[in-house]
Amino acid sequence: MGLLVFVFAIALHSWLLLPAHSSTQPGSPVPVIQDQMLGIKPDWTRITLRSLPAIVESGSFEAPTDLIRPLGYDPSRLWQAGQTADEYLLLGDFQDSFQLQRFSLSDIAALVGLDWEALRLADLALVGWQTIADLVQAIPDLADLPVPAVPPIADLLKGQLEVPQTIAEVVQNEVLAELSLGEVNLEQYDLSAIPGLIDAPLETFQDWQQSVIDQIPGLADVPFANFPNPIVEQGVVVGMVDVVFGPAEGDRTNTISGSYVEGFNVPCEADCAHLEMAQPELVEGTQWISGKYQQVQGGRGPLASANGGLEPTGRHPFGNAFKVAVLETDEVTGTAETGLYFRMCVRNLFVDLGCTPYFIGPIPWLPIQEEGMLFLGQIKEGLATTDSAEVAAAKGINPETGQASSNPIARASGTSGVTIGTFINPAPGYPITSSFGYRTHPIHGDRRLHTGTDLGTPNGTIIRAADGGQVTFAGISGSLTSGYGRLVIIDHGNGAETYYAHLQGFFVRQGDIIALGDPVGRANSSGSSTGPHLHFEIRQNGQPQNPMNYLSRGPVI
Amino acid sequence: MRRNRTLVLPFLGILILLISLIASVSLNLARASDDIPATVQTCLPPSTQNAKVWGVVDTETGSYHLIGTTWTEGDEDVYQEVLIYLAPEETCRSLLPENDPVISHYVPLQLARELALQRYTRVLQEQGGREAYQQQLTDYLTSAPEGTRSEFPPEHIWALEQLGIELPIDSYEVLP
Repeated sequence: MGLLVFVFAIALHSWLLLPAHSSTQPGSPVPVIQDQMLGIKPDWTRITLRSLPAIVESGSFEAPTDLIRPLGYDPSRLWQAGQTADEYLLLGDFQDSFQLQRFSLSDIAALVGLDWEALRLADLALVGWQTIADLVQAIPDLADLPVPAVPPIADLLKGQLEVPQTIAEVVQNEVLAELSLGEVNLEQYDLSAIPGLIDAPLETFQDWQQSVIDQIPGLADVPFANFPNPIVEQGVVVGMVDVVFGPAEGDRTNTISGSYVEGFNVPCEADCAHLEMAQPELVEGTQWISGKYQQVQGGRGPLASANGGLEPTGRHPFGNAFKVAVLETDEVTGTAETGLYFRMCVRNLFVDLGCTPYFIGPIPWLPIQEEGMLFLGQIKEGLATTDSAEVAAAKGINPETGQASSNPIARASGTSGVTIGTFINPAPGYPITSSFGYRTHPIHGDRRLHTGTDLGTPNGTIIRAADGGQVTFAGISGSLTSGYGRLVIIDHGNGAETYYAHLQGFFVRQGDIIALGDPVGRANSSGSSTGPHLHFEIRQNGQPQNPMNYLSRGPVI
Repeated sequence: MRRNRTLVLPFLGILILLISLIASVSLNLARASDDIPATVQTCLPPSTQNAKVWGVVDTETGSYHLIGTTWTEGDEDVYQEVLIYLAPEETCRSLLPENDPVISHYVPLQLARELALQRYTRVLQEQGGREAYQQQLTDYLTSAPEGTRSEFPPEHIWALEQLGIELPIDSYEVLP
């Protein structure tokens, strides 16, 4: 019986608490993980550059000649609809994001398995543009080897009048050092023909940035989760799509889409197809505008001018390697398509041309439906949306911290005859044991405003009026075991009042006119209190204020 | 004899269900009582002196930890509940700003409710059961000083309702 109950409980617990599993979701172009709480997310352990869906539109980038010259090669590129990402993206495009250049061939082989025997040197295209000097730079141990131990180099040197004994001697000869391995037929060698080649990081080779992904054996099949700098969700916000709107919409300003250049709160004036978000409240009512209809500024450096400097509006929930854009929306079915866009980046040791806008795409991505969950990535905590700094400031929110700005209300001087207009500490010298502000109860979990400042006054401490005024209450508020207990309230005029709670007894009566510093009672623990202390309040027009903002201006602390 | 069996079987079924629910809750509490992962500790307020795990929810994209933290500022004891997200790659982030206790502002509602349910399930266990806690909470809410009504996040109210706890009318407010 006990065993039965235990098994049943575990089953029940498992059912209550989210089983997650990986699958190829119907309608999804990539493998996804189904999570009970967070909806679907891409399964990066099963997605590779080769397995990403093919690009939908053809395109090209023609580098200006003034950019080609300092770079030393032509980064111009052409891609055709139907190609997969590994066929038109280069190692250099990911040097700051996935950092694929840190891989060696042996690293890749460990992840995807490589049939070493079947591979030829020609399969690693970058070997073809290495000179002998470049190769020794990449694999320093080659220098110690005799020339015949490296057959491609030995063959390259055939016909030379005088062939040195070692590779080190070869690279000391300026002419021989600059001979390119592309001059021999690299199909005739397997990878072991260059000892140490498979263990050298790709980034050690000359102009590795130019290598197309599918010209690095196995790299196109490495899952994104296994990249040297693996793909990471940026932030944790998962939103629920409320309504899908078509392009007839206009004038949308509460957006969460844009670009790194313009920020992610770019308004939309017309043709504003978008997703409206429902929850969590952090993004409630915000709009993710369709990048099919809205273009925004993108890119950086000289390459930023590509594609007219524009890219589809969108977000970067998975980092800067690519951008996610909402594409076509369908109000009737409440669904939307999304797509990925890549960019080109060009940088070597001598020149940094920056990156183009994200315009290489779209690559079909996860479908969206109303009431479905959508990974949004980073949304600044504490702000109602991804507000601009100006908007946040106007709302009284510090854009850096997301916290509400405190702006204490200034108190006007009183007009009562005995009111001085400044407050003194009613029990100077005693420590603050509880400040003004909201408190979370450690058991009940609620939040309550602590409307005053508590001072750790022992039983019997004389409590003095913080300013002159008229006593409007001197009695029990609540009971001797609840609420304020014995309480004195003084009206200082101009809507200002002070409260002195949990007292033992009174030196004043209702209606008395008293001066600043006059004794009002002795401290105790009456009312709702766990020990002797003074609860001191200052109210302005009935609203509790932080006493410390007033006492700090007083003449006596 | 047959009639007796007819009566006993449904009773037995209900008994098993009740015991199973209790066991399920206990499993949750056992998880919540686990030591706080070292990575999560790095995301707690730096002055934290004591921390208590109220709830943990695992998702495929990381885990969410609702933690009560206490520390001392001068002579003042401070208590704050924080929500820490722990990513699979062992990085953490604190999600709740100091001035906003509403968990569902920052995570999906279902996840927020699960954390709140774990929290109050544990409260009930520690405070002597449902009836004892009902009395304690009612006293607390109805004796609040003037102008200091309790404010609860909506997921807390939902969790208390699930556990059969009633809140006196007009004794509290639900945070928007």
